[in-house]
Amino acid sequence: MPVLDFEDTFGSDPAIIMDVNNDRSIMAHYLNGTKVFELCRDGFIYTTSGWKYRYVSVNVGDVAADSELVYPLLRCKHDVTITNIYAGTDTTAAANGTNYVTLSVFNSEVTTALSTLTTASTAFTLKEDRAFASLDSTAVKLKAGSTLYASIAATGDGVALSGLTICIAFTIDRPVAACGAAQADDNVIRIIGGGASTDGLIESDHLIRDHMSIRFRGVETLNVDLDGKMHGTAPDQFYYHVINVGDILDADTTKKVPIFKPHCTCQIEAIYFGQSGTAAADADTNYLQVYVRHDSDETVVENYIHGPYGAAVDMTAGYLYDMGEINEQWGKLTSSETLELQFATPGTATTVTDLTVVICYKKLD
Amino acid sequence: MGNPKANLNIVNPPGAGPIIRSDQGVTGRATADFINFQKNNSEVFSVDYNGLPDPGGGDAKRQLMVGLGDLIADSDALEFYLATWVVACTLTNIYIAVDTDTADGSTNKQTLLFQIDDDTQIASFTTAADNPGIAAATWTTVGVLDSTTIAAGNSLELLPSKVSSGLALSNLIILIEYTVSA
Repeated sequence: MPVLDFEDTFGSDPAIIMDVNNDRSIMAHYLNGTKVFELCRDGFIYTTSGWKYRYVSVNVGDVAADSELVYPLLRCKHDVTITNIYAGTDTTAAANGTNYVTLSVFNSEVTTALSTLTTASTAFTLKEDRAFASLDSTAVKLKAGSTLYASIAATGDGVALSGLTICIAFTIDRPVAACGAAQADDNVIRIIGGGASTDGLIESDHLIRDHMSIRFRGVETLNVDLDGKMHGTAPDQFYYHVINVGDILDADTTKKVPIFKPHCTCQIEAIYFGQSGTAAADADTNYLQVYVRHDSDETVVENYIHGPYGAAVDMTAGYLYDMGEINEQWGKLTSSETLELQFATPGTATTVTDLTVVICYKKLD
Repeated sequence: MGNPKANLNIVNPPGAGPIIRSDQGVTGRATADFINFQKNNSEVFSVDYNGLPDPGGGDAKRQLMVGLGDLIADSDALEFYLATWVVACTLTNIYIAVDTDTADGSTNKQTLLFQIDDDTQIASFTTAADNPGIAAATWTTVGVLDSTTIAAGNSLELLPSKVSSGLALSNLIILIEYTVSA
């Protein structure tokens, strides 16, 4: 038997409503004395399980032996912490103590690298990952709006890296400092053990009402609806995609580059873009207009690279910039709809190198 | 006063600790869910004893996208690293897309072998005998996966191999769908 059991009860409001006006958490779950789950008053989920990890994998592509480049990797709408970084190539790059490449990952707000890999003494073996070790504890804290980027530098003649891909695991930071930390023990309900059973400790079984509503000062921060779908406002309800679509040449302005296919109905919250080159907004004709478009060709957001004067941003290599306000109507995608990159230019577009796009979205159903 | 229509309605109780706290693991209930919500007796949301949520709707599934750039027709020498998972996951689907119609794929095709780093085959997809082999900006599933388990620390790899003369893929993009297992 469940300890708290709500089954086919009358009413249309959520079966469980908890509303607090201080920084206390709503629920905390301990396993053998260790906290493994906590539901915070802002709807944020603290967990020691793998649920907390997010991943992006960015294919940097081919890197010439003498490259001195920076590549954008990630920008988020909220503060996150980088937990793991891996890199791999599609072709073996032998170790060489004289001619080698150094691959570093940086937080744009911190001068110290998160970590560094080189081929001085360890090769890249095709398709096998290498982990970046001992991530710097300060640099791993990527604040909202900051950029995570990779820097590549050659020593001697360097060495070419083919099909370089960098995979990043990160967690969304807890916005409420108290959540996840030790808290007082004055609980309203405390369940110790719960007795022998395979049933859940807290169960709700209904046909017509939401299961749970968490509120802070009367404002709902997390709802678990009848179908078990979460509707929340906390940063862990946001998801990210990053894609490097390679160099965009003037000849590519007829292309439609697929960049997103959601698996459920999603709302695009922000889109960031950047490149491995520097781009001054200094051309009034030979610039590139970058559109993120719904597959119906309606524009979700657009911006410019290399100009025109007054409209584009001056791009620093490796940094990611907000493309602008999202068109909410066309930024809402069902699982059968997709996003594409499209391009235009009034003149002859200057090449954009390693155009990289970050898509931030929420799931709606 | 709380809302009388809720079964458990707790509003601004005094104190600073979690409203509900459970301590599990010392009895015969050690592996039961902490939270289990059902719709008509079918589970739709849970938090297991390890604190792993399993929500309903689109929340359970995650996506990871890797853009690999241009793949030439004969890319047999290349073996791509795609991603590494730090905890166990279950793959549910893999899609591919390109930004330009491929050439006629009636004879020349490209096979994409997805595998885990222990060489366990996840899927083997061969482009269709159509013209084009793959149309631009369409997401094509690689089909039913042969294996779906990714253990903590496993990485996913892609090994292309040509059929006949092979088929060039412009701006190949891989979309991986998975759920978190632990």
